[in-house]
Formats: sequence, C-alpha cells, structure tokens
Amino acid sequence: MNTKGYMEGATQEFLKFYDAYADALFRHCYFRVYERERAKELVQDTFMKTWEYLAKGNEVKNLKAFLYRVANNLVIDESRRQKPVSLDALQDEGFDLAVHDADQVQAKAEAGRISELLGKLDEHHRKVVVLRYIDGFGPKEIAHILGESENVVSVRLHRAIKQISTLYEVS
Amino acid sequence: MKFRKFQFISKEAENILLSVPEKSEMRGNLVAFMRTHPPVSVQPSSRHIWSGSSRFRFANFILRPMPIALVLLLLFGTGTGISFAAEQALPGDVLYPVKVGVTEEIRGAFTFSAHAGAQWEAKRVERRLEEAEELAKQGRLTEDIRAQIESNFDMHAERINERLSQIEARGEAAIAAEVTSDFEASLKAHEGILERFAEGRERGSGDDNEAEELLLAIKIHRLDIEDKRADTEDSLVVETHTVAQAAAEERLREAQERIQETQNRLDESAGTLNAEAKADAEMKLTAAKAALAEGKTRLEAGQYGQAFVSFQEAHRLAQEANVSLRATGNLDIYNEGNEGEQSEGSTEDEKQNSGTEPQDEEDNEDDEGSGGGGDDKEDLLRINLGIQPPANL
Repeated sequence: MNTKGYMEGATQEFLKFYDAYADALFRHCYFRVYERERAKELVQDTFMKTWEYLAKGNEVKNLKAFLYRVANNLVIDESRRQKPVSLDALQDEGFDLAVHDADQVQAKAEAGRISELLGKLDEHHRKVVVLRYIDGFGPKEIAHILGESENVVSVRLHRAIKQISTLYEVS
Repeated sequence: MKFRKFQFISKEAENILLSVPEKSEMRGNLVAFMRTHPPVSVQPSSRHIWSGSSRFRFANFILRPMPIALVLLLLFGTGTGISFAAEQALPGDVLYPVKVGVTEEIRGAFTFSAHAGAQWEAKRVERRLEEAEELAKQGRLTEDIRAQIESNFDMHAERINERLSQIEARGEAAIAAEVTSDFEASLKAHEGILERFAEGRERGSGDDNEAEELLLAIKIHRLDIEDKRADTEDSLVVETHTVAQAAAEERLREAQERIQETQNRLDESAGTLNAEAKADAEMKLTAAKAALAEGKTRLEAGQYGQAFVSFQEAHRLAQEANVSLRATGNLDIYNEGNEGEQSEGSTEDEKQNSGTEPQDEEDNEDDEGSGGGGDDKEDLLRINLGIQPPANL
C-alpha cells in the first residue's frame, strides 16, 4: 500500500470514530457548557486536537476515553479563559439553519429538566454525574478520563447523587 | 445509594443530538483539517492502525511531499486557529486568500462526484455573495472588492459549467436539472437581497453603485443558468423515460422538506419580519405548494418527467424564500430601525451568536460608520491567539 493509500486509510478509520462518537461527545459537551453552539465547537475542536495528536505519531490505547479526556481539558481551559473563543464560522452553512433552530428549541425543552438539576451541582460533581449517567462510563473509565483515582471518583459520584437527590425532593 | 430518576434522565438526554446537517458539516470541516494536518510520519507496512481494540497510532517515518499551500498553512498556524479564523474572513482581510484559495479548495478536493463538486462550487458562489452582502451592510463594498468578488464568482460559475457538462455527458439529466435549479434559486434570492442594498439604503460612500454592479453580474449568470435549467427540464419532459419514478419521488421529498423548513423559519421569525418580507415569503411558499400539488398529480398519472419539473419548481421557490428569510435575519435588511443593533428584535439564534462571537460587537461599531478593515484583522488575530492546545495532552 502506498503512502497516499495509507493516509486515506487513516483518515477513513478516524472518520469512523467521528461518525460513531460525535453525538455522544456532543451530548457530553452540552451538559458541561449548556450551550448548543459552544458544545458543537468543543466537539469539533476535540476531534481536531485528537487527530493532531495522532498525526504527530503518538499512540492512543483507548480512543473513546481519550476523546472525552481532550474534551474535558478543553472545557477546563475554556472556563479558565472565561472569554469564549468563536469558531462560529465553521457553522456558516446557512441553508440548514432552520432545521437546527428547530432542533435547538426542542433540545432546550428536553434538556430543561435535566439541566435544572445538574446545573445546580458544582463543576467537579457535575462532570462525574455527566460521565456516569449521560455518557455511561464506569467509575474506572471516569477515573482514567479525569486523571483521578477511582476512589476519588466514587466518592464524588456518591456525594453528587446525594446532593441531587436532595435537590430533587426539594423541587 | 442509587438514584432511580437517573434512568429517566439519561433516557431523556438521548434526545440531545447533532442534527444531520450539523454533523455532516462538522465532518467536512474535520476532513479539511485532517488534510491540512497529515500524519508527519507514515509507513506503508503499518497500515493496521485500527486493530479491533481501540488502539490508534500512526507509526514510523516517511516524509511525504505536501503542496506548498499546505506547508505555508502549517507554518502559519500550527494549531487550528488560522483555518478557523480564515473562515470568517471577508474580502480585504489578511486571511481571505487562505479562505478562498486554501480552505475551500481543500474541501472541494473532497467532493468526488461531479454532482457534489458542482454543489460545492454553487455553495462557494453563495459564500461570495454573502460576503458581498455583509460588506455592503458594513459599508465596505468598494470597487476593488466588488471586482474581486465578481472574478471569484466567474471562476466558480465556470467550474459549475464544467461539472454540468460532465454530468450531462453521463446522461444524468435529472441531476443536472437539480443542480441548475438549486443554483438558480440561490442566485435569485441573492439578487433580491442586493437589490435592497442597491435601492439606496444610506450606508456610506458608493456602496449602492457597487451593489448594483454586482447585481448586474449575478443577473447575467442567473439568466444563463435559467436557460440551462429550462433546456435540461425540457429534455426530461420530452424523453419520457429519462426520469425514473424514484428520481421524481426523491425530488418530491426534497421539495416537501424545503417547504416545511421554510415554513418553520417563517413561523419562527414572524414576529420580527416586516409586512413586505412576510408577504413575499408567503407568496413564494403558496406558489411552491401549488407546484408541489401539480407535481403530485403528474406523478400519479405516471408522468415522471413533468412531475420532476414541478417538484423542481416547488423546491426552487421554497429555496428562494428560505434564503431571503435567512438574509433578513442575518443582515437586518428589512428592519429599518435596526441597523447595528442586532439585539433588538433579533431571533434567539442571533442572540446566541452575539454572545459567543467577539467579532459581533466590532461589526456593530463598524456599522456606525467607521468602516475600516483594521478592526477585523485585529479580531482575527485575537481569535487565533485565543485558541490554545488543551492542557495535559
């Protein structure tokens, strides 16, 4: 196989990951930043950063976990910087706007109840809840993604659930 | 302790998805990005980058040649900044040549069929026109820039014609008809928008003239494409078996979707539209629906060619209304008292944009009359510098 073919193969393999995980990652980002457009940008950036990392010759053992790790870092980076970076130009395909407007309204309504509850948690607790219950990761994977020990993750998860249960009863 | 409600929550969360167009648009951007950031080192023998587990790597070292433009792009912006920033560039901006000459060309290189190629070139024409409209709005549409836009426009139009010849040579008249019809609709809509600028909104020196010049150029292209479309459609009607039932039904579906989408857009923006814009969109939608009904009758009668042509018309009319409505939102061309103040009477979508896009504020200031290009350059650089690699990678 020639170099071009190899490049093509690598591209195709990576795009398969994109097709498989874009929605899940979008959902994750959405529940981290609560803003559809920002979540989209984060997803785009996550895949680009990950590709860049791989293209430099680095190896990734668990690509799915790696994607979430990059996304997590981007969310943290962003909250440190505060001022959001605009990648809006990427979504300049105007014809699709109506569809996505409608989706946005619907998504907002659907996410309303969840957001309300999760939004009351602090960042540390929220991210473990999102990873556990929205993304479906086990405590071990969450520990890997966040770079924390499994024990820390379990404790945080436990506390988060306690908090959210109280909030739910109150509301 | 287990909190049962989470079961319900995670189920509900499954509805948070990217729309199909969003996902494919992002995919296109990703492909372009991957093209500009190829693996620095690859070896043919290590082709099994993906081997069942989720292990992923590019191994070993063979340097591959790269087009000069890509090398420059990589040198210019090691991160994702430049290509993102370039996407926002307008004619006259430093990064505009990157947008037109590099980013868009790369995306074009990923359209494998003549059909997709023609659609992409048509999209590029639209992007040129949207740039012109944005500049006209900002009072920055000068003679030089207008000439630049026109020459790009000509280039794209020429490529569309080449692709159309390829499509026709393969006997795919229905596809040729679709491409020409869609292109015609978008040109017509943009004519309408530029007409509004040309009609003498007071936006600074000489703009109206330039908008008028550009309008003329578009009209010439539009008439040309209209002829082509009509010829192709005639051939579809005359040669009865050239259009399969499936093709007509597909076009029906597309037309229905476009009508629905436009109707939704109209309903959503009803509160902010002025009477003229609303009436115009409603009229086009009514005509589109009539054409759709006509097509359905033909379809039932087994006249697939004629049905196809009617669905084309329905699609085109809805598309025209759609583009006009979108421009109304983006450019505020109907809202007389609204110049430079997007927050007033803007849709929710716009509000979000202005919240996330630092450039918006600057744009608004430009509207007040300064009109210089310097601010934008600074903005682009700031956006670029703002994008940093994630920690702990």
